[in-house]
Amino acid sequence: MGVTRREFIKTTAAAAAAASIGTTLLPGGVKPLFAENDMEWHKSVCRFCGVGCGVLIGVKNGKVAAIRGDKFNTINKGHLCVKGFYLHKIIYAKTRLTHPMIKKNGKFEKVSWDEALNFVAKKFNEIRKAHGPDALAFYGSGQAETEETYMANKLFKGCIGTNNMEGNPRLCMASAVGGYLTSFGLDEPAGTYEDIEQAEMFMLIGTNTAEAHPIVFERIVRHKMKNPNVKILIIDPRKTPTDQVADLHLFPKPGWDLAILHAMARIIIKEGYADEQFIKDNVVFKDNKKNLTYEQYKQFLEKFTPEYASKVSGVPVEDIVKAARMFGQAKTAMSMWTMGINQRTRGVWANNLITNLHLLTGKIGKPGCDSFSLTGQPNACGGVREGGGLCHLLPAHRVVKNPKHREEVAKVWGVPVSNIQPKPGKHTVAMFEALNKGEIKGIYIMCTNPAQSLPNASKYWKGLKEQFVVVAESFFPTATTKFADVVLPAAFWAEKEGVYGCTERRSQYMPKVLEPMGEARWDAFILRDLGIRMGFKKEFEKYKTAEDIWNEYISLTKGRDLDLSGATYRRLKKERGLRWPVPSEDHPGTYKRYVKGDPIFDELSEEKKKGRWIYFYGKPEGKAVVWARPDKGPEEPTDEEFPFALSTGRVLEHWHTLTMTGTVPELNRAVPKAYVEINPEDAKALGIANKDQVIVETRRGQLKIEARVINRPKKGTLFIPWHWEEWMANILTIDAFDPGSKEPEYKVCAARIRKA
Amino acid sequence: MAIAGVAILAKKEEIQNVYQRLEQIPEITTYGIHQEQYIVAVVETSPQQDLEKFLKKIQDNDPGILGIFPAYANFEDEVLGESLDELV
Ligand code: SF4
Repeated sequence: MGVTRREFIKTTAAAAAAASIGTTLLPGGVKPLFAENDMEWHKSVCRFCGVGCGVLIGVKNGKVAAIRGDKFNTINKGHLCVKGFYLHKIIYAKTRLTHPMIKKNGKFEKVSWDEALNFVAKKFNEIRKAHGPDALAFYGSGQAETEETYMANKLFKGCIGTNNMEGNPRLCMASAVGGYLTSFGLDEPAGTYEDIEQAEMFMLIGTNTAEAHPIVFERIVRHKMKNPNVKILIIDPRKTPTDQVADLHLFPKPGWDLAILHAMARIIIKEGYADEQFIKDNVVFKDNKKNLTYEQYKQFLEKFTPEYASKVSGVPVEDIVKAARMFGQAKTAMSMWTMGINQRTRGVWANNLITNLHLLTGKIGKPGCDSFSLTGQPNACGGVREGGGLCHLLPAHRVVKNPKHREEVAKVWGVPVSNIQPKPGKHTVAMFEALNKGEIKGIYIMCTNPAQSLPNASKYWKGLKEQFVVVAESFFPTATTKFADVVLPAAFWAEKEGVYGCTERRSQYMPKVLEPMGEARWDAFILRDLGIRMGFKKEFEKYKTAEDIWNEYISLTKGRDLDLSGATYRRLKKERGLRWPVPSEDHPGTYKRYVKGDPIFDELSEEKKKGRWIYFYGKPEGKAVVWARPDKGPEEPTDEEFPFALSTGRVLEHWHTLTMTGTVPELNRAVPKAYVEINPEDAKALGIANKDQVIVETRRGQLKIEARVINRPKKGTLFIPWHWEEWMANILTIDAFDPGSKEPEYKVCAARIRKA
Repeated sequence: MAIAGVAILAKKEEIQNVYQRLEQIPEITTYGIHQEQYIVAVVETSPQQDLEKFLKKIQDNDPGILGIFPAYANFEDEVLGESLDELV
């Protein structure tokens, strides 16, 4: 008896789901119909978030017809969230941009690649000649591949000679970078996802893990269900689906959680939960101006009684005490955070104060312990942080102001060292301000949508309107392409090969399994060809393949903290990614930094280590810093005129500005429009009913939007998901930024709301 | 239309009830409870139904479900326009 294709697929689907939880379906349950002869499967990585799930792309008759979670990938072990599930639909979206266009007389006209690239090269060279290299800029993305960001870095910093090169990770991860650098001396976490299954306690702060990082959440839930003693503490102003598993939830007023973290540190020390030996061996204390002794730090903390923290944050005293004890009593603890911590004018400080708790209790460097920043975008860590795609960085955690770093990079790039300026360029907000002022006259925007994603967005449309704007994108139109003079069609996921580096220092290879749609081309080669046309033939003509670019990049990582020289394409094509440092082709990659098994630690002399099991080699004497930071609140606190604290964020079904998920009817219909969440008590007081149209207003703009009366935001707070152009939350958000990380405070501003 | 293999993570104490409720839904075929916390199931939606919306509704309506995690999704009839009811 034959089986139909439907039965065959159902069997395959059931078997794949069973395999994803490490089980097999017994005969009688499902017949072993597993050979999918007509489907070719390719190992890849999810295009969306920084979790970095492994996917298998099923190609049939030259089209992507199925997606499967990769059960051999240690991150997701076969599971995906719904976004990953719809990846293939995005490839075939109606809004794919398939040919280059130049705006002529206010209208986009289809042109050849030659015409488009010659035009951009000519305009950029004219601007550079007339106004100098700093009149040009590049704005990239944590969704671009490492090879793509590398090419942009070389073109702008090494050839054109401007450090005006930024990427949207400035808007999401810069405070985490600042936090790691100031606490440990080096960027990126010590631990990995492997710590999840070994942790006794999780502190999830400023993160809606269930919706923004679903597979990480699943791992936490699965672990807690197996081990009911595992405790989960949430610190977040909003109730979210993550609460399903919380043991304790602290709801601070948005932007007022620093005092809670200090109060927790104070209780931890006072009640004897601190690891005094760890502190003695591995920690120094500092405030914003000077070194402190441990005693001076304790003195500093005296102000932060639970009562004080309660008054500042609105969290009950007993909950603050409970939270501190929960952290202190657990043998192992992992903290995770995202934008609720990073997108703040004191994001770096907030990062430091989380890490303080780990350093005071010695809960770092051991299995199940880490201060672990969750990354928003799939390659913010790999391409932009590691690849050096920000205005002060060079590849492989180098900085432009270090002459040795400039020399090392210039040598590999084959450019005069004098081309690389020693002064950092303009960070994101400053860059778009300079565009408004006409100081920057030409910008190349790749794989991102700043006209919608910048804070206080409408303020920056002026510059985009007035200056020469090139947008390389896979989708059209977007809020940013409206302002473009030239749009260049970029190959999308699965139409190009390259590497993504995710949250846990893991670099993973993605193959090209399809030809790009229409005339779309790979971003790295668009930049290469533009470079050649701008006169940098010798610098760019040598790159024939993605591997050429990757090999050059990893040569720059040799001997650095993020040594990737053992992560060759040959290996990455076979393995499910490698976690750096991975200094040679026979090295397995590194589970934990700063301890035994980390090749950099292992190579330190015994004289240096002096018998210590952990050595923070990014800092003098290998000692990490516990920071005594002031407890500053948000830039724009609520007041009588604007009495609500407004926060913005994601929903599970959508990604950033909808350029991708907006093309999937299923996802669109699941959450078709924006809304503002308001607490039932506030709604009642203002006469607002569920689904009423309301006006949300801040000092920067107003938005007419549907109200969702729901017990999710704390009283006095509002929440708007920021994905839609039509209900653009970022015309409301504030563009004040952290003075250290330059990351804007998307997460808190003062607002008011009324019935429309 | 879509055929998806999913692992449904449910509260341990609720899992039997969740299983029974899922068995009543025509679009779902269940394949047992595993590791006390997962239900393996295949979801088949018709062209008029959105798989995503469908899964979301199931999760929202069942407090015993903690998460639904797709492991496999096949859309080949949509992408390639092929019938799935022919013998292979
Ligand atoms: S959790 Fe992130 S990486 Fe994993 S499938 Fe979902 S969107 Fe993709």
